[in-house]
Amino acid sequence: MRKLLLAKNAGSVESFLTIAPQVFIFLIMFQLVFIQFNLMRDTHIYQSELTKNAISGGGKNYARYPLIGGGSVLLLENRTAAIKFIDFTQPAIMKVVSIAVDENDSN
Amino acid sequence: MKMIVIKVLKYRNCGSAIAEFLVFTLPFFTAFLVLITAVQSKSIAIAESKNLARQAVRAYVTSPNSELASMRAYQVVDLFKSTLSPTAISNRDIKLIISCSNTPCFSRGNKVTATIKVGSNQSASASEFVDLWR
Repeated sequence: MRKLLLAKNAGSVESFLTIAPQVFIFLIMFQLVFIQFNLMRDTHIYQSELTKNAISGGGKNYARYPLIGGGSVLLLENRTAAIKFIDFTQPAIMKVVSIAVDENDSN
Repeated sequence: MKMIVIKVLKYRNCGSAIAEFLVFTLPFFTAFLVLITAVQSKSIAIAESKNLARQAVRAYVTSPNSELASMRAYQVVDLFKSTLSPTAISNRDIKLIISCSNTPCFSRGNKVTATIKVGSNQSASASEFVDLWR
């Protein structure tokens, strides 16, 4: 085993040329997975915050629309730049929309 | 002819690790990429539809009267739709269906179910009861 590990082996330019794009594709894919997980996490976090605000009040980042017959609808539209491993100087914007009914005015 | 085929099959050839690696990884990566995108879009659709159904039914059962109940539920869905781009709306059309266990729908203790359909293959339902002391 030691012999195998210590053995000198010359690399080839061809191997580098084939491996490099593969690694690049892999990193892009991994980045997509990372962005998607972040998007899902943000969706649930913002929704839980908005629902909490609809019950107990507070928070100012959302828009409040009056609901027919009383109460209101809280709408949160959040746009954030996604964290990336490979940057092409193009920002990837994630849009998260949360909605909650605030029934305080009607009851 | 038969002999040639056997000869070709028996012919020993040194494999190339790089070529084998490429043959294995390229289709695997592509399939994995498609799968990830599909899973992500499905989970977003599930989260959206479940929440929207819950909020729509909440708006319905907290209505001050039966005339406004449906309008309130549809208003919630329309407000949500207003945040989406025209492309997103055309790709994933959102529809609301209100159903009740008894008629008239807006009566004390009645179970109201709101079903949200996103596109052609995603639907979510949420149920609530109309307040008994209303």
